[in-house]
Parts: sequence; C-alpha cells; structure tokens
Amino acid sequence: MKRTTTILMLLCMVLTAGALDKRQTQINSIKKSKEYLYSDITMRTPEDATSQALDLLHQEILAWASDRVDKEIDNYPSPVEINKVIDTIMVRRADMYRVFAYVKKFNLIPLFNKWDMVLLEDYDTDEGNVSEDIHEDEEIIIPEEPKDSVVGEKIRALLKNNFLGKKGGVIEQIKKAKNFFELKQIMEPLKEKGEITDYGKYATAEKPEDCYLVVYDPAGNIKAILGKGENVRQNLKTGKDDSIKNYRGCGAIWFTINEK
Amino acid sequence: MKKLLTAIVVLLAISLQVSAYNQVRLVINDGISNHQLKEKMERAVSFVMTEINRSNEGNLKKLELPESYITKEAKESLNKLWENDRFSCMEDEVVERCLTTYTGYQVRGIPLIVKAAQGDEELGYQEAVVNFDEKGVITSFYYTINPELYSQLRMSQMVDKRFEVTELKDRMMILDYVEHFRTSYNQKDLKFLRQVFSDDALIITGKVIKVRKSEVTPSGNKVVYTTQTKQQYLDNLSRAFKSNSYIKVAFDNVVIVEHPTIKGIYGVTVHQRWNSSRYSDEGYVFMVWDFRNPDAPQIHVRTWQPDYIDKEHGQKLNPNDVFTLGDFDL
Repeated sequence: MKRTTTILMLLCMVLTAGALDKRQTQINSIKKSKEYLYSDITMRTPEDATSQALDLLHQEILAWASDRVDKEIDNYPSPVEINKVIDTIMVRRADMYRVFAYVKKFNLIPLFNKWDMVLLEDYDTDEGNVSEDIHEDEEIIIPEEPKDSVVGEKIRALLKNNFLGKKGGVIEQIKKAKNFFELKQIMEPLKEKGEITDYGKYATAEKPEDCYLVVYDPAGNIKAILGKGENVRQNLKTGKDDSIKNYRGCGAIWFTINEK
Repeated sequence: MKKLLTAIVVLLAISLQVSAYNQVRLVINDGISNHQLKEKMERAVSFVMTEINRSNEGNLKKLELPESYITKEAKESLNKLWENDRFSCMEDEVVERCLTTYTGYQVRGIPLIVKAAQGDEELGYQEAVVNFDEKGVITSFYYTINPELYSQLRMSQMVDKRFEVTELKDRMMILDYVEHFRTSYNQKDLKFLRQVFSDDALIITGKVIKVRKSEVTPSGNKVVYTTQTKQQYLDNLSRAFKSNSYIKVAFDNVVIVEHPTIKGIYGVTVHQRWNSSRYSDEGYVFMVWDFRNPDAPQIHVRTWQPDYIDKEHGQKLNPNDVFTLGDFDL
C-alpha cells in the first residue's frame, strides 16, 4: 500500500511538471507569434498579478488600436468588453504568481467597431493568415505569404504590357488581386508608372468620396472594389450599388487614378 | 505489475533529467531589426544563463564566462553577486523583447530562482535584467526593480505622444542606476555604494517609538528620525554585511520626479523590502539622485521611513508624510 502511494505521488509530480511545461510552451508560442498582444507579469499574489497583467494589456490594446487609425478614437470599448476577448494563463513561479494575459489581434477588430481600422502593418508580417485559437497541444505556425499568390514577376511583367493609362485597365489589374499581399504588389508598380496617382490607408484619405476603395476582410481577402462616391458607391466587381457600411470590421485601401 | 514499474522508472528517469541543470535559450521576439546583433545577444544570454545553471548545479564558487559574451567588469560584478546569492534560470526557453537604452540594448524578465550562497536559505523569485553594449556584449547583469514598471514606462511612451524618446532614455538611465544600486546590496558591494553616495550625503532613518497617547499621537506610536553621515551609514552597512549571511533588497514600486528647476536632479521614491538572515523590514526609501554628470551620478539624500506606524493595528504611514524632493533645499 505504501509503495502504491509513493508511486502515485511520483506520478503526480511528473504529470504536474509536464503540465507546467506545456503551459510554458504555450506562453512562449504566443509571445513569438505576431498575431497576439500580451502582457506578462509576476507578482506576489495572484490577484495583484492578474489585475496588473490586465491593466497593462488594456494599455497595449489601446496603443495598438490608436496606431491603426489616424484620427482620435472616440468610441473606446469598455474594459469589460475588452476582458471578454482576453485569455489568461496563470503559472506559479516559486513564491510568486505569473499571469500571462493575451488577446488575438483579429478578435479586437469588431470591438473597436471601426470598419476602417487599418491592418496594413500586420499583414506585412503574419496577420493575413491568423490561425485559430491556440490549443495546448498545438504549436503556432507563423504563416507566410499565401502559396497560391500570383504576385511578383508575373504580375509585374503583365503590368508592363497591358492597358496602362486607361482607367478600365487599372481597375482590371487591381481586380486581379485576391488578397492584400497581391494588392500591394500590384499597386506599387502602378503608382511608379503614374497610372494611379496615390494610394494609402482609408484613414489617411483627405476626400474619401473622390477615391476608389479596395475593401479587405481581417484575413486579408479582397471583398470588394468600390467606385467613387459618398454613401452609395458602385461595386466594380458586381456592377451593383454598394456602400462601405456593408463592410464593417474590414479594412480598406483608397486609391486615385490618373485620368488624364 | 512489472510493466507498470518499468513505466514508472522511465518516467522518473525523464523527470530526473528535467531536474538536472537546464540549457537556457533566449529568444528576442521584438525590438531589434539587426538580425546578426539579435542573434549575438541571444547567444550571449543563452550561454551565460546555461553556465549559471551548470555552476549552480555543481555548486561552483566562481562563474567562468568568456569575454566574447560578457565584459570583464560585468563578469566581476556577476561573480560578486554569485558570492552572496546562488541562482538559476528556471525555464528552458525565455522569450523577451529587446529595449534600446542610452548605451546599447537591454533584455529584461529573465526568471531566476535565488537562494543564499551560504546556508541554502531560499530567497525566492527574482527577475534579471541584462544590458548590452552596441556590439551585443553583456555589460551588466542586475536584479530588476518590479517588472511592471518598465512596461508602464514603455506604454506611456506609446500612448502619450508628447513623451519624448530622450526623456524615456533619461528615465531608463535612472532606472538602470536604481537597479544597480538595489543589486549592490545583494552583492554587498560597499565599493559601489561608497562611490555613489556623495561625500556630504544626508542619510535619514525613521524609527517608530512608543510615546504617551495624545491628540497628536493617538496610536501611542511616533516616527523619530536620526541623521547619519555617509561614513556612519557605510560603517553600519559594513557591519550588517558581515553579520548577515545574505541580504535581499527588493524594490516594489518606483516613482521618479524631476526637479522643477535644476535639470539632472531627480527624486526617486521606492518601496523597499529588506530581508536579511537577521533582520527584515519594509518601508519607503526616498533618494535625491544627481545626474548632472551622467557618467558618475551621485546620491545626495537617502531617507528611510517605515511602512507602518502601528503594524499591530494596521496604521500605515500617511503617504503625505513620505519625503519628496520639495522637502529638501538643494
């Protein structure tokens, strides 16, 4: 009986060490991924560590959001709303408590209710292909540019010999972009050639009504190309009337065409 | 039954392997774009921390570290700490951001378990901060002040656009010295303390005494203050260093205020927990730091006031009574 108890105790110790290790691996995976915002605090009590970790993550979230819109954010979500999308992991560290609080950037977009929140910088890294929530037994793989991308030399070569200088040609070229990565690589050469006069994040448009818009979802997929206009714009893919209000939670790039 | 026993033996073997000293790998996840430099800093910390773990496991009295990773001065300072404290990095992989400082780079938050070098007294959890020069060589290794402070500092820079980077750098410079100052007590480094206190430094220590209950002192307790010269303070400290097998000083909270008219003078208030083999206390330390010569900053004033006037009845020191810069003519 004594031997069985000892064996069970030893087993428990081994299993506990394994669980701790797993949580540690999970924390490190999140810290290494660019899909998340996080705070990592170790304090004397779990309450202090949790409160401090949440507080810091809130600040990080607000700073992140502020960086993505060029105007003042006037409708900050409440701390309660933010806490709903935050996860925490608590680990003992000797006599202290470590609280790791994290949130996926993707899950923050609806919270800010800003359809024009710009995710440009994030797509430059890995935001375009965010993975699903991390499970303990999963490793986070930082995605690279989509494999089916048709960008690069092929597109550039196409642009050299195509209808540049014509409005329809420009729109046709932009329509070829399936996702954000392709869009960026199509637009830059068009701008270099002077076919589009300028482009940028939606928030930077001085007169949005005079700009064409390329709307993309948080995963980076192009959802629509909209013509000029205020409330009603033509959807250049379907030819039907459309509006930016139909694309809440998405981002947009504006561009203007050299029509001379 | 035999199979079960074999499985248990295998599991135990794995767990024992875990308990042997662990190889540490630092991964810098943000804050530096120079890939070569980043890798160099990662290699340096990984090597040094693994060597610390090996030395801790082998109970070695000295850390042998190559100067390609750590400067001679930093190695000596680290060994001074090693004489008094034994520590090990508890995690195999440490993922942290890199911060840019006024002299190079910095990585914070390296998790350590600390015990006294003599007597095996557990001193608990600490985090280390490692500073690098511009070439990625380690220039210092200190215990941190409380970790959240730096995050707040970083945040405030991001949120408040008026927060100039130069000011952030000033603050980081001050905090670096505060961290060095704090670690010097753990190192029992009288040489550094002698160097950092100005010759005419004013040192004030508060002490709670029992008095007759009155309208002014309803609790029957009162804080009285005694002043010491630099020499008296260092002599007392030297005695404390000799009579205590270990000294652990931790700063819980740090507030830095710049002097309104004299540039380079800062008031630094910290909540200090002093824990040594013979004595423990908690209180507020206020210091006047003079950074007018940034290469050799000095402390002109150091005060200590107890946390509680009457601990038994939970009566804390009134925060308004904690010394500030305005209390001293400079």
